[in-house]
Amino acid sequence: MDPLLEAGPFSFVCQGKILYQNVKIALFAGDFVHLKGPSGCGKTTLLRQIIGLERADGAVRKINGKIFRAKEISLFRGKCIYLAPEAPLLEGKISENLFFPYQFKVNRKKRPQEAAAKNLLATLGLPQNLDQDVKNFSTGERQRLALVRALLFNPQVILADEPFSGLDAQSFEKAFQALYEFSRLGTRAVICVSHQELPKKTRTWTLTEEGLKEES
Amino acid sequence: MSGFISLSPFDLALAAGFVFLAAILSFLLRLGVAKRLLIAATRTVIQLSLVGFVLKTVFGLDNPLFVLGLLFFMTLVAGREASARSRRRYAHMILDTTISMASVAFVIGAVVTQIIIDVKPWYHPQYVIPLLGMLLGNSLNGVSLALDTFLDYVVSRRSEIELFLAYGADRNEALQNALRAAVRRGLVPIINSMSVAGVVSLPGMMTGQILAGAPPLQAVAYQILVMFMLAGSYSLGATSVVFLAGKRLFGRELRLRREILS
Repeated sequence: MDPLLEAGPFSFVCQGKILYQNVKIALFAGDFVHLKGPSGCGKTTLLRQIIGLERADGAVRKINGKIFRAKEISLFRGKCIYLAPEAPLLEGKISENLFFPYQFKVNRKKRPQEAAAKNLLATLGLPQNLDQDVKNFSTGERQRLALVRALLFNPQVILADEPFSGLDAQSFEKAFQALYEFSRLGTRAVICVSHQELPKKTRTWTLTEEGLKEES
Repeated sequence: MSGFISLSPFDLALAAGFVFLAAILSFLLRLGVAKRLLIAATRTVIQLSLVGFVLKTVFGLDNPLFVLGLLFFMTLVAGREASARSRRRYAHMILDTTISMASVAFVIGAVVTQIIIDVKPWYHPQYVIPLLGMLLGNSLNGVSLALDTFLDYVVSRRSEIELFLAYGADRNEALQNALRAAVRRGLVPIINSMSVAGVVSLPGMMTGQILAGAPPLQAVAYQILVMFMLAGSYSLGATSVVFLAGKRLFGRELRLRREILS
């Protein structure tokens, strides 16, 4: 069986210091990976290299065995969504924040689902009024809204970079459950960077100087 | 009543009295700018005299190669100046500003001199050089303002742009807000000067033509032409420079190449 997502090799040298070298990712359908490592070891850079927001010379990216070339990077990004740790929002309404991806050319086949959006917002304890302005959202609310956007978009892979750091115990449970369920939908997978322990996972990776170490 | 009065060196020496007046005031009020004022005045005399001699020579030679050479030189200087004014820079920025200045000079300059005014011969230096000079000098403003705004936007709102990219936006989709803000900013000066033209300020070129004895309505007609030409060059210059900058900064891999930005 081909891995769902294959990417690499990635290396990261910061101010003369090698943080990691020759890291290759192979993610299979149904994987929910907890990616660990001390702060500053390059977890964020690794996820950004996978989707090509960070320089990664010579890296190859495949989904279901299909290679995505440099000029197809937007196509690849539409299938492998990265959630940034700062959970940036656009100025404006909840609806604009959830539905902006559908105006991009590569996503023209996808349709925004209002009903599903409201369900997800409710599940994660966010206001369901799509016209509400997001300017007074707290960090936790921003993170949950960013998660709703990704789940609603329904990509093949979600790379979540500390998606729960601003959440209290109760919202953490709901948000985690929603992300975990996504990985169970079949032909889906998640990598989740988190410093806190996760209640469930199928694999655990630790990023070190020698590369990714898989815990068994 | 037309015709114009020549200025002699003696007239200019009298006018220099105004500069000395300013210098004396600065000295008395201890503004500390007397020296800089005198140096600036001296530079004005030297630079303008040099330009006068260059123009006199080029006019006298009446050779298209010299006219083109001078225009080429002016374009390079304008491109360099547009990039020097920016607060942020990236690798090969000067190339982008020079290319956009050159496209402005070529497209707008060609239409104005060859189609609208239809000068004969096509390189008639008396028309071509001052018009292109105004074109370059002004669109230089638009280019550097737009570029500055664009770079500021890209740096300060990087997370928004990367959010768009992460959901599969192509370059123009990810940068549309930045491009719009930058071009709009680049157009502000020309919109302002078109709005107040003739009311708050009498444009310099029109004043010059009237002093030189041109009929006022003809001077007005030329001024309108110049304003419209500048509007075109501001927008062409601002648009082309931010597109070039976006292309260079985000490349084919569609990521902000921070390694070339400083």
